[in-house]
Amino acid sequence: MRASSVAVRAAVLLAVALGVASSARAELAPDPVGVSETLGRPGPHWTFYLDFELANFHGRFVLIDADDVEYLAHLSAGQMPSLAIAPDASEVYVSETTYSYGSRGQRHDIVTVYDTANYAVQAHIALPTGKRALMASLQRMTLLGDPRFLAVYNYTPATSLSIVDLKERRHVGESPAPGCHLAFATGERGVSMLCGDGTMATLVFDASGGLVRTHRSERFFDPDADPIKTDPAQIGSSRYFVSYGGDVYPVDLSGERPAFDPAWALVDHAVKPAGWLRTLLTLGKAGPWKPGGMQLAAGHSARRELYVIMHPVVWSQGKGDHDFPGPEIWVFDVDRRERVRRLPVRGVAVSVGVTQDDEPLLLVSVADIETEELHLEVYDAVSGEFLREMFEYGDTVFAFEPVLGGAR
Amino acid sequence: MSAIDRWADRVTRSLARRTSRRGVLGRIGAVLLGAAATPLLPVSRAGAGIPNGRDVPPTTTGNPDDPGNPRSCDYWRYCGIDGFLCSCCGGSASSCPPGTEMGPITWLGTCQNPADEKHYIIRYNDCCGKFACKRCFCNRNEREEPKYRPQKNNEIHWCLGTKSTAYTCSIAAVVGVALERDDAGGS
Repeated sequence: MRASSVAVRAAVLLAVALGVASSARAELAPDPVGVSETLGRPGPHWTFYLDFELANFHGRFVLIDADDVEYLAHLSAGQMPSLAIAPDASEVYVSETTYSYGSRGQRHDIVTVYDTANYAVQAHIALPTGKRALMASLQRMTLLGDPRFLAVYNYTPATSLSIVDLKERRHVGESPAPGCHLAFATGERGVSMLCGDGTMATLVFDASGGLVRTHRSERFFDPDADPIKTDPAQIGSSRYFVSYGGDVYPVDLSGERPAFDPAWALVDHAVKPAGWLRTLLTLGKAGPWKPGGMQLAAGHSARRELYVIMHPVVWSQGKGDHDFPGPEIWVFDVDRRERVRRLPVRGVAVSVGVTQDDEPLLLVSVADIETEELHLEVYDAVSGEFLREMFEYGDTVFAFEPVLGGAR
Repeated sequence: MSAIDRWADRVTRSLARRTSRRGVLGRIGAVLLGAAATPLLPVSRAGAGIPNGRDVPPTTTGNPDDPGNPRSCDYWRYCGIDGFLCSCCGGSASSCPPGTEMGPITWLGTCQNPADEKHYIIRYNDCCGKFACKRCFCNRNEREEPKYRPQKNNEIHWCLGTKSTAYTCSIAAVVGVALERDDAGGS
């Protein structure tokens, strides 16, 4: 009783004191009602990441500024969404799948168009119902070289491409692509797809989005001996596909047909497993290494650098380890075809992205080995210095998509 | 224990933590989600941890020729699975939880049964129609191949041909003994 009466008296005194203090200052004006923020031109380190929601396999694309991991905006999407960003950063496109009653009811497959000042929905473009591919891959949708058109990869499991005219805001048509998968923009209005026999099919479209012809390439890798991962790094107009065993297959997609450069090795294939003592002393790092991860490779076009997540084979035991996360990111000069840096991360890296400016930042989803927690971390891509991490990013960071309009 | 022994013990334990399935593979490898997406390291319990079934009470098949715990990622049939285990979600290693629908299209793996040391073809199916179970996440990629070999890929959302593509969990059913060994994609 006594203690509380003292507290009451103290509170009254405090209130009086505050009243005196505030009376000497201007009162706050009422805040305006109904204000939403807008964003300006993207900065060089603006990046989307895909937050994959475990509960329902829906996703969110979150826009951050990696300079201070400031949360700028997000796009809430349906099941297993894909993202594309207009080259001038004027619009953003999300393909997504939803149901009328949440997990059930009528299925809707759509492309949602956002502006980039308000990140507000400008249009919904209907896709053919029930065909859009639902899988873990960034490569299910691409803008064509002519950014009026968007290609969406379908898998039912029959495979095809849907072409969307973004100017007319409508689905133009669907072209079958039997045995070939995913979508990589090629030339002015072409899309190349990876086929199960180690070739590429390239579908070429006209100025109205109609299919003109299809090319089939020679076999450029052996899917039985050493498959390539399907999330390549992009450097200029080339894609660098990393194989399970540690080779890289460069494919130039600037012309009407893909041009295949010779494959080269990311690892020294002659390295033998270390003896048990060296293995112990180095925690397995003395022996052979392999690439692994989800979005395991990224490229910097101006620096001509390829970034690949790598792990010691001792850690993964070498079997089925193509998604295995790694403690280092190796950086290669793709013209000299040699490693120029090794960048250790604080845990093990699952996915990597790099901004495209002169002072590039490396965005990494990193798992803590001890706690299993996932972190979104930012490193200096040149020095490898850890700069900052983002807290409360969502459920899981799955992939990065730097906004290029501000940097290129 | 001598100082050298203690040092060796510490190094060995540290290495083991990074090399065992419960170590990097079970903890970090499990980061890679699956039936659909991937990665993950979902924050399931008080800020840390994958819902990896570690504390889920074990079960057995009751058949000594089919050994192991179907609620554990280590169970032999799961060598190519990617997703939540239906055996933790009201189903079993080969059946779906109540009210969900088994996707008719499947991805295939080849796993070795430790009881008879034979390689079996395993059919992995997704159970569909309700949102995710979020228990016993398991991702193993032995002999898994990229998406241009879709019948061997576990990152495709295999709720195809079902009334809804909502993903609930995944099962691993025996098809039969493999006639020849499949090493493609296993390295």
